[in-house]
Amino acid sequence: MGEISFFLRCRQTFICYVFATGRFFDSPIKIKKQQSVPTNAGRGFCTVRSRGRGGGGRFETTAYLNGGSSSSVFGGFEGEMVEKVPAAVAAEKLTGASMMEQLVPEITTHALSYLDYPSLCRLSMTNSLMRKAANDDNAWKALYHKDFTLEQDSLTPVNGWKAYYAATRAIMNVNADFFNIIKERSVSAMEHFGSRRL
Amino acid sequence: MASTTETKQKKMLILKSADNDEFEIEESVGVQSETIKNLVEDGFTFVPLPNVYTKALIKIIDYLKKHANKTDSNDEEIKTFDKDFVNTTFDDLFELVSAANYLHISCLMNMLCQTIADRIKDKSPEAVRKIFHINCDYTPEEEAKIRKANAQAFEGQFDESLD
Repeated sequence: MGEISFFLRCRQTFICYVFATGRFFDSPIKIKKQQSVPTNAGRGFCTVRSRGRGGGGRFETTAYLNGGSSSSVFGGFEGEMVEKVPAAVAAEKLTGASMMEQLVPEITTHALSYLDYPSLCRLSMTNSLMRKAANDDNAWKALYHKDFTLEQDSLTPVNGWKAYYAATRAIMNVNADFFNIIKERSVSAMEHFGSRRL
Repeated sequence: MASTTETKQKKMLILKSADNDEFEIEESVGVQSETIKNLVEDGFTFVPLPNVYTKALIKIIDYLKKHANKTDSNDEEIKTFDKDFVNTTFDDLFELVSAANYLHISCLMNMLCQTIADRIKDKSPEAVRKIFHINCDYTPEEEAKIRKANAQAFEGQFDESLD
């Protein structure tokens, strides 16, 4: 009996060593594998890359539609909405030389509602107060309804109307690209289109 | 109500600007402004306008008079008048738009806002800053970041003029 139990223990110890060694060599490989797995699996968003053709320039946007995630993948768009106006503006307000501050917010919004997408983006460049005005949700809602559709009136986009507008615009550009390819019946362009989307 | 003036059976209104100048206009002209209309309905004929300065008020009364006599035949004339009306400096436009907002004259409001929007539409951020008399409160890093985020808005040539 004694000999058998000794033999069993030896075997157990040996197996332990084998496992330990296995794990030791195995673990780095496992980590490597995990890194290579794409991390965006299992989330309900769609990624759209588009290249504006008609606009003649590069317009690449990663669009989140109802993504629910609040990470600022949206370049500056989303971040801009959340960012707070620095204290410096409050100081400037007191000295009050700017025309923009003398105007009532309704007027500003009203005037901005006549601007188009690139103009509003440029306007937000001028200073933080202007950016706040140019990022006004109602202005973007109005612009969305003007440029796209009036149907989605009851909808409230998670990340605000500006992000929603940009996402829709990106999708529209992709659609336009796609229809152009169909119209031209170009196989090579279609292949290119498919690979670009991925 | 002592200042009520009756001429040729037409009801007249007195508007008083922020600089204490008084203007007499016909009621039918004045009621194009919602603010004045409400006061008239409450029986007022003397209307103090503490937010509207004489300079803007003169122009606005001109506008109201022109638009009160709107018929099918003078459509072109009014269009020309409107074109001249908004052909002014940005500072004047801002003053007019504030006054129009206070007086609730929606057609004038729409026209002025449209004009302002059209005129800043193709301007560079630098020009817009000068027009609105605003200081850039961004650091160069912040500015670069926002410029990058709005890259597609910076294609092509921009208007650097200030009028």
